[in-house]
This record gives sequence, structure tokens and C-alpha cells, in this order.
Amino acid sequence: MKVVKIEGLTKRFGDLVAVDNVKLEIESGEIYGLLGPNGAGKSTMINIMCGLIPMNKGSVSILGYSIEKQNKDAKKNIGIVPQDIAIYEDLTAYENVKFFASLYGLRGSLLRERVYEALEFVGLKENAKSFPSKFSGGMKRRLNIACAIAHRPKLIIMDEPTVGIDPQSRNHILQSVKKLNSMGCTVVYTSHYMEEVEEICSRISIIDHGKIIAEGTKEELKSIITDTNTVLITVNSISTVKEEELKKIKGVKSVEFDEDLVKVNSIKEINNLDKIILYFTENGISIRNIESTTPDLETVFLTLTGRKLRD
Amino acid sequence: MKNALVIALNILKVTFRKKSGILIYILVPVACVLVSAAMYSNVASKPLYIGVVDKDNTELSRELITSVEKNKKFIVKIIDEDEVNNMVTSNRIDCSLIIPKGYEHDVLNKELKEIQIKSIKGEDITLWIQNYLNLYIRNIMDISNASNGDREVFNKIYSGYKSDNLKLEVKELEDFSVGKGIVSQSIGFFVMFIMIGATTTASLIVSEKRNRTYYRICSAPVSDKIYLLGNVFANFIIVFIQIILVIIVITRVLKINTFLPFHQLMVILVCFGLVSIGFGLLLVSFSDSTSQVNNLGNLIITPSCMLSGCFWPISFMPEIMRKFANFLPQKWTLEAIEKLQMGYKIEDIRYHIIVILSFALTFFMIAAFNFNRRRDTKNFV
Ligand SMILES: Nc1ncnc2c1ncn2[C@@H]1O[C@H](COP(=O)(O)OP(=O)(O)OP(=O)(O)O)[C@@H](O)[C@H]1O
Ligand SMILES: [Mg+2]
Repeated sequence: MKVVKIEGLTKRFGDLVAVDNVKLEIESGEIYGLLGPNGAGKSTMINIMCGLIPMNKGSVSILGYSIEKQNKDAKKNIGIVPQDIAIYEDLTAYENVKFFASLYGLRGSLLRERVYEALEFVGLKENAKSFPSKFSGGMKRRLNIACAIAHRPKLIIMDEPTVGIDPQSRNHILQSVKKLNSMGCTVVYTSHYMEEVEEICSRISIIDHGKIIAEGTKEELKSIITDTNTVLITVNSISTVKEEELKKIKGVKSVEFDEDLVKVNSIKEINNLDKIILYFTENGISIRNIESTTPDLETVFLTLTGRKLRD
Repeated sequence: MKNALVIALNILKVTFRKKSGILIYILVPVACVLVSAAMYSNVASKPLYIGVVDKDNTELSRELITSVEKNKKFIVKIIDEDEVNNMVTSNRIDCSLIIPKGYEHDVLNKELKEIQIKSIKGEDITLWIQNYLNLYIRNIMDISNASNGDREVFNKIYSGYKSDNLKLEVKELEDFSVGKGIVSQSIGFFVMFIMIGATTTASLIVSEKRNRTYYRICSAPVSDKIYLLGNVFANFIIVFIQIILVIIVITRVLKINTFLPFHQLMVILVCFGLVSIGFGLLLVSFSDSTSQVNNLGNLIITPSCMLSGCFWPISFMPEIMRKFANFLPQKWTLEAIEKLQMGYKIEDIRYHIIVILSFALTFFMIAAFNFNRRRDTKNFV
């Protein structure tokens, strides 16, 4: 059973094509990652999947229900964790979850049970009676998640659920995504944090300018660029390293900078390590460390688009 | 449908969780109306100057004048007919009362038609004295009927009526005459405040859009229309409370007579409350921020209330504007209330009620349509 089936999906805002002829299929039990830089069209895709905004072309079905024609049946099965925290500051954590869960037809003792279950799941059971205005950013994010899962949806869509929070809360959230998945939920997870997607997703789509430019498991995606060889060079004065100069070296495809680290991606067949080292020594830049690695998704993205995921 | 109730209850909960909610949505609107009502009733305690032209000059016509004079609210000046216009326009009298020739004869022969009252201050003033006269004439006609044309019998009953019943009647009449025009103007203010109140509550939706919970509600199996309906319910309850509170305080605490039964006033104002809610939602469907809703509201509410006679009698306005006022729900509301005050039955104003409810329905439909159309531009991301 396909949990999500998207075909030929196109969405325009005026002249801007935010989602461009996207085809996507997600199987039951997957954690599916949507990876893309700011403005790639991730949230727009999600808004359409939840039936919040109309599409210009194409079709979306959730568990076989068309989001346009069988809107209610489709929506019942979805739990959404919006990118922007969507909770009432004037209601307690418990009341927040209860209100949203009751929109799915839950009533009475079952409702109460599910609300506590959801709060416990995100680790907020002790704070059930407190108001979110007293919560930390991470706690609000977790409440945001609790509001989406109390009705036990089959599909949970999370739009950047870890933006702007401390590592501990983030870890908690990642663990709970895995746990939800092991309980049988299919998860769609968007992010522009490479590491998160690598850690939890079974399959990943890389999105740029509204198009899916690559799709597959981590391994499949990385194999796109197995012809790439990455050299990591730690230097003393990174400001003197010129990207254009390095790119002139035969075989170099792209260069990244990260603090005092220079990442040089080259075509595997061409052995240019000596030339790269020569560039540094000739320009009087002293090398502190040098190592060679396998590429990560960041490199995949860079290779495919020529841009970095985050600036 | 159940979800509409769930949403309505949630809106009320969020609104009244804070003390300021009660202040903004209940106390302030109610206080504003009451202040204006109290202000106008003070004006009312000023006596009314009535120029009386007695063309009949008989025993009974003089009796009529005496009975008007007895009322502390009225000061009578006997004038000539050709003075009337001059006195009224120069404001030396508030209105004129012309007792037609043959008044006594008509009374005794049970043929009395109406007695003319003239004023430029609008119906409010004439209504006041008209009410008084109607009651008097109703009684005197009853006496006339009972005496069946026999002058002697008539005199006997009439003197009895004067001495025995007068106290009772005077009391009734006095109560009756306290601040008539007054209330009509306060109701104009009330109508305006109902509108303002409804736009304030409707703007709750905008703030909901802003804090994103709207996004979450719409991603649940809840359609735009159900969401809107939930808002209508919540708004309705708030407006309903406002209306009840105002009516209770006006009639029970300030003891201002509204000249129509509680439930009739309630029916009309609640119908108008629906119009106001529709209007508020309409504004919201066109706006992206609370301040935009309020600005649009101010731009429309005050002028339309002026045109429809909330602040002064509509008869003061030029013909063309009065025609235009037909397109304003406030005009129909005020007119309906006025008719009820004049003693019409609620069945007689069903046409008005239909018009008022049609306004509400139209506003709701445009708002729903507009919400749907603007789904795209709602800033979800
Ligand atoms: N309601 C709207 N009206 C006009 N343009 C919009 C609207 N919503 C989104 N866009 C545009 O569509 C493009 C895709 O936006 P979207 O929010 O889907 O990106 P995203 O991948 O979620 O980015 P981010 O990582 O910043 O959340 C952006 O260029 C955005 O400006
Ligand atoms: Mg986004």
C-alpha cells in the first residue's frame, strides 16, 4: 500500500513555480526525508499534501484517498507538525493537545487517554497543566509534535521539527520519530540538516527549485557521486585560500569551506592530490592536517546543484 | 457539525481565559452603551414644550389640555394656529398639538380620528406625546362607548375617571413618558456598538491565522465552512451576552423604558447581531491583520450608522440619503424597533426581519466564498 502517492504535482505562486512536476511515492513504514535548501518548495509540497492549499496540476493521494476528492478521509490519517509552532499560548499543554485531538472525533475517556499518551510520548506529561508561554523552545516544539500524534495518524508529516532548539531536545525528537516509526507510522521528514536526514531516513528526496533532483536510499544517493574523491585539508589561514584557483586544478569539481577546513571534491579517476598540495605550499599556506573521506549528502547536494544546502 | 461546536467552545475558552477578554469583549461594549443611554436619559428629563391650538374650544378639549398639563413632563402653551410654524422653527416649542374643530362632538359620537402633532425634532418627540395622547383618547373613547352618546352619563363616568383613576393613570403615564426619544437614540448607539463588538470578536480569526493554529485546524478534517460556522457560534454567544446584559441594565437598573417588551427587543437585536457577525467575518475575509480589520471597520461602521439614523432621526436626512439607507441593515433594525414601540406586533414587522436576516446571510456567504478563494494567499509558511 502506498501511503503517499504524488503525480505530476505542480504549484505556482504567480510567476514562481514553487513545486515543479513532482512525482513521489512513499511506502508504508518508511521514514522519508525531503531535503532541500530554503525556498526549495518543501513546505509548499506539504501544504498541498495536507489539503491546505490547492494545486495547479497533478494528483495527491494519501492511503488511496484523493486529497482533493476525499479530503476528509485523507486528512483523518495525517498528523502534521508544522514548521511554525502552532499552539495556543493561553491554553495548557493538555488543553492544546485535547482540542486538536477532538477535531478528529475523539471524545470522553478515550480522548483523555490519548492526550496523556501523546504528552508522555514527547516527555511533557509532568507539564500537562502548564501554559506553553512558560516553555522553552524545545518544549514548545515537543508540544507541537504531541498535538499532531494524539489521534494516532498513519502518516506523520514533520516540517523541520528541530529548527532552533538545543541538541538535547533535538535528540529527543529524533528518537521519538524513530519510535513512532517502529510503532507503525509512516513519517515524512523535511529538513535542511543533512545529519538528521542521514541518521533517521530510509529514503530521501533531494529537492531544489521545486524539483526532485535525486531520490533513493542514502547509499543510492551517495553512489551517484562515488566517482568523487574528497580531500579534507586543515589549514592555518583559510582566508588566503582561493576557491577559483583550486577549481582550476584538473579534476576538481567543487570546493567547500568549513571553519579552518577545506573540502576539495575531485573526480576519482584523476589523481590530483599532488597538485592540490602543491597549490597550498606554493601559496605559503601551511597544512596542519590532511585526510581523505567518503562523501556525505552535503557533498551530494553540492555536486548536483553546485550550491550548498545552508549558507 | 460537531467540530463547529468544538471550535466555538475553544474560541470562547481562549478568549475568556484572560481577564482582559471579558473586559474587551463584554464589559467595554456594554459600558459604552450604558453611558450613552444614561447621558441621553438626562436630556430627557427636560420638560417638553407643547404648543396647543384649541380649534374646538369646548369642555372636553379643555379637559384634554388640562390632562396634558398635569403631566410634569409637558409644559403647555396655548397658541394660535398661524403661530405654529414660527414657534416650532424658532424652537420656542418642541412640538405642536392641534385639537381639531368638532373634537368634543366626535368623541361623544364615537367618531374621533387622530389628533395632529407637529414637530421638526423628529418622531422621537412626537412619539412621546403621541403615546400619552393615545392612552388618554383610548380611555375617553371607552367612556364614550360606555355612555352611548348620553352626555350626562359621560360626564359622570369621566369625573370618576379623573378623580379615581387619574392617580393610577398618571403614574402609568409618567413611567411611560420617561425618556422616550432618548432610548431610541441609545438604541442607535447600541446598534453601533454591537457592530463594533462583532468586528472585534471576528478579528479573533485573524489572530488565529497569525499564531498558526488555524493551519492546524484546517489540516484536521475540518472544512473552511465548519471553521467559519464555529466562529459564528462563538461570536453569536458573545454578542448574545452583550445584548442581554445591556437590555437588563437599561430596563432593570437604569429603569429606562424601552416601550417594547423585552423579548421583542431581544429578537430584533439578535437578528442584527447576526448581521454584525456576518459583517465582521466579511471584513476578516478581506484582511490580513487585526489592525486592518479594525481600520476597515471604523471606515464603514460610523458613516453607515450616521446614514441609517443611529445618531439622529432618519427623517432629518435628504431624500436621496434616506433612499440609500435602505441598503443599510441598521436602518431596517431601527425602523423595526420603532414600529414595535409604536405598538405594531412582531408579525407586522416580519418583512423587516426577513430583510435583516437576508443581510446576514449575504454577508456570511460572501465571507465563506472569500475565505475559500483566498486559501492560496494565506500565509501558511
Ligand atoms: N503563499 C505564498 N505566496 C507566494 N509565494 C510563496 C507562498 N508560499 C511559498 N511561496 C514561495 O514558494 C517558494 C517555496 O517555499 P517553501 O516554503 O515551500 O520552501 P521551503 O522548502 O519550505 O523553505 P524553508 O526551508 O525555508 O522552509 C519560496 O520561494 C516561497 O517564497
Ligand atoms: Mg519550509
